[in-house]
Amino acid sequence: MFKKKGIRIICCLLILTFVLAGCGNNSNSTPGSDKGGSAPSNGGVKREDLIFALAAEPTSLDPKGSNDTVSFRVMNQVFDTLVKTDSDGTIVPGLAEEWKVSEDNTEITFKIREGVKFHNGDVMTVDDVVYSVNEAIKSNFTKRTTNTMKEAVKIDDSTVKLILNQPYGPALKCMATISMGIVNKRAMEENPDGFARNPIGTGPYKFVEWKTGEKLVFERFDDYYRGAASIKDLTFKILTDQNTGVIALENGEVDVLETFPKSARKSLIENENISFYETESGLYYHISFNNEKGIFSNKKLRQAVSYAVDRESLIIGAFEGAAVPVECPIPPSCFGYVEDFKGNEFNPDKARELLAEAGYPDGLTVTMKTLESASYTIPTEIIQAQLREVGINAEIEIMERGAFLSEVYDENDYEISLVNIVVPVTDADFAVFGRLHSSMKGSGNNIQRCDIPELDELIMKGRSTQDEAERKEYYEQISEIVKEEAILIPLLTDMSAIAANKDLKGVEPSAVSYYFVYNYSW
Amino acid sequence: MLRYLLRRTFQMIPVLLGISFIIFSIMAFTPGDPAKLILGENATVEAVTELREEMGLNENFFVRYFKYVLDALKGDFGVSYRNKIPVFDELFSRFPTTLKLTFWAIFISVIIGIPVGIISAVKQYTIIDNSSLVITLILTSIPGFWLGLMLIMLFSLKLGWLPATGIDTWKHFVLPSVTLAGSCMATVIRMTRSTMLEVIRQDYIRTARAKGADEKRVILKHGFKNALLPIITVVGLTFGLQLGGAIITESVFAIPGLGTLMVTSVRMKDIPMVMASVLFIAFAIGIINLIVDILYAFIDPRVKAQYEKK
Repeated sequence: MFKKKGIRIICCLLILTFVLAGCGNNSNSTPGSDKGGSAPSNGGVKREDLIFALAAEPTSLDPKGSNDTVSFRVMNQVFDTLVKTDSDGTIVPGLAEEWKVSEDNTEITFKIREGVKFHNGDVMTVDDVVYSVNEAIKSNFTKRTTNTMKEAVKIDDSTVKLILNQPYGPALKCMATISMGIVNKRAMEENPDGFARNPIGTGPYKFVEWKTGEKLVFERFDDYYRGAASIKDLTFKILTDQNTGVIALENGEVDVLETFPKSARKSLIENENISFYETESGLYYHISFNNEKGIFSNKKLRQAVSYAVDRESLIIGAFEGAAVPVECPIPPSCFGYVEDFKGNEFNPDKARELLAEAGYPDGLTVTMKTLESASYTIPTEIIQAQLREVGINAEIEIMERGAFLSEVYDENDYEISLVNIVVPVTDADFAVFGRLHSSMKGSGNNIQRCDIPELDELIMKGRSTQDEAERKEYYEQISEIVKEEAILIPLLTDMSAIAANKDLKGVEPSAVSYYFVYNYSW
Repeated sequence: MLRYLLRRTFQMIPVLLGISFIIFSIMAFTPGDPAKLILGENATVEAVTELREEMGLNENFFVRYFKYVLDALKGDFGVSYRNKIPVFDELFSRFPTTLKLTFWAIFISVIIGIPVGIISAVKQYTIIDNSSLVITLILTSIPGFWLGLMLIMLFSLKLGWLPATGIDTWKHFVLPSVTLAGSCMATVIRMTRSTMLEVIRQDYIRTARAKGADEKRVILKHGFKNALLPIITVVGLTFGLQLGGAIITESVFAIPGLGTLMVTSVRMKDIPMVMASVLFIAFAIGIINLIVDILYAFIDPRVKAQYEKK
């Protein structure tokens, strides 16, 4: 009797401990014992430090040597570009005071700002600019933004000319990406292998130390050409577990967090110690088919799928409601997005009808390859259920990332798949050229194996002019063709969000996850 | 003894070679192109082709493997595909952290696990024994990530006693060590209990009691000392396993250790990093096993006598 009672008491105590840990209101959080803390001030003194959480370790802090958003996030504090994109997408001066685009759209001449200093005290020269741009053009990591660029040449001590391979509308936007950050030529040449972990730029923060797997530390650069930043000490803390990231923000161990599980969105919004910002991201999910080979070379079948998909329930089921339906093949954050564009509506009857017309009155079974990550598997399962409603039995094959990239992206060995595309530059060209132009077939981009001469022509026209009204027309026509041919089915764009300590001012969300700590203050 | 040690150390060479070949083959023949993984799904085809060439991935498998082994014999294990730094620089910067975490976890498991195991055995079928059974069952069943998050929520978020992330002070190691100790402790408790149960039923224990020895002395000196060999084996094995296997704990507590490095490297198909970490851990496990064997000799004079004969 006593034994049993004792065991019960122990069990109850254990359960109670974990229940206590699990429930309760997060907003009553106590500041952690680490430095940072949730209070903006310490004994009335304004805080001058900031801890920014990173969900992974940057691969390299050399602008030409990486292409992951985590590295970009850090490099945005260390380097500057010739031009910048402001929050509404307008190109504004950066290290170049002014610029001129040639009439045929193949050359851009930049006038370089004078007296800008690097973190090592060197004054920035045209040679640094020419070197940085040409190195970026040569690099494999930056090909997506530089493949229309030929070279940069020095004109005089304050002028540099960028020569393009072809007329290219979004060239200036490409110059505003951090891959085109200006590096110190001397430092790079003196330490070519070590530069990526000891970067020297002209940005508002200079590098102090990088503790592998743990953190990257920066301090304010007092000679910054736009004036010294308000935050003095900047630390990027690597928190690979997203749930831990949320807790670290809640207890004040970090001040800014931009990667968290979708399930945490609500609690972050409701937490009164945290400010939550979000905007439509530069990423859009779509259903891709192999248009050329296999079962989905049948247009009617692709169209049937387009009527079978219910975007609203997909958003609620897989994205906790935090996404926006997209019906044209360009995400809303991009220039060229066709507002009011209507894709095929959700209409299961029509889908069944098309399925019968396609020659499958009794339905069919297809394989849907997907990545092992939850951000793919959950929406794929919802699409699977929607397709089942109209008679398409999609068997899901979950694949490890390397295998998925090889089979779907390289070999295009798939029937149907839910994939997404991330635009590095918020311009329609980055959503359509790689995905739909026939020259990108068989490479890592046109996985639909789409080859329509009319579409190719429109895409080329759209990318070669600077005239915005004209470009918009082309993108509208492109969207119409994609809908008519059901080349791919645009689904939604999710939200790019950032959560920060409520006392931190100046935080803004960004579609392409470009955050500038220079604008932040306590 | 020295000859035995040397022989054991040399025996590790074919083991490491075998492991290197198996891992190299797995990395080479499983689907996924490292160049593509580095450049991402939206990379252009020319960029991927150029990078493959640069990384030497277009060469024949055997040529690549022999080059790797030759370089490794010269002490050059290559640079990481992912961040271009020499793999051993990264390994050595992370190893002390993992070692510290593993040490504390094992320390906690042993300090608590062995006494609880002994008491459970001595007081078999009492409330203490049954409670320890329930606790070990819970500890083995709780997934590490859940226990970690719950501890963070209680001690970091609710009570604010301990930090949730980082490795700066001893306080940062408390929660991860306890989390990691959870499952190890269960093993130590169960192992100690079962071995002790066997030992205390032996004739020499009865003899010790019959000659009037103090019960504490009977249990600790006559009993526990003889039960120690299997316990040390288990602790040694667990230590080795945790060196490379504390992935979840490291990830939850944002600890830059070997486990997270290995997982990231495998996902990115960072072959030089995967090879170096696996070989390093294999070597470390080999050394730990050797230490365990030497410890046998110190504990058990019979084993020592055997070594000396050899």
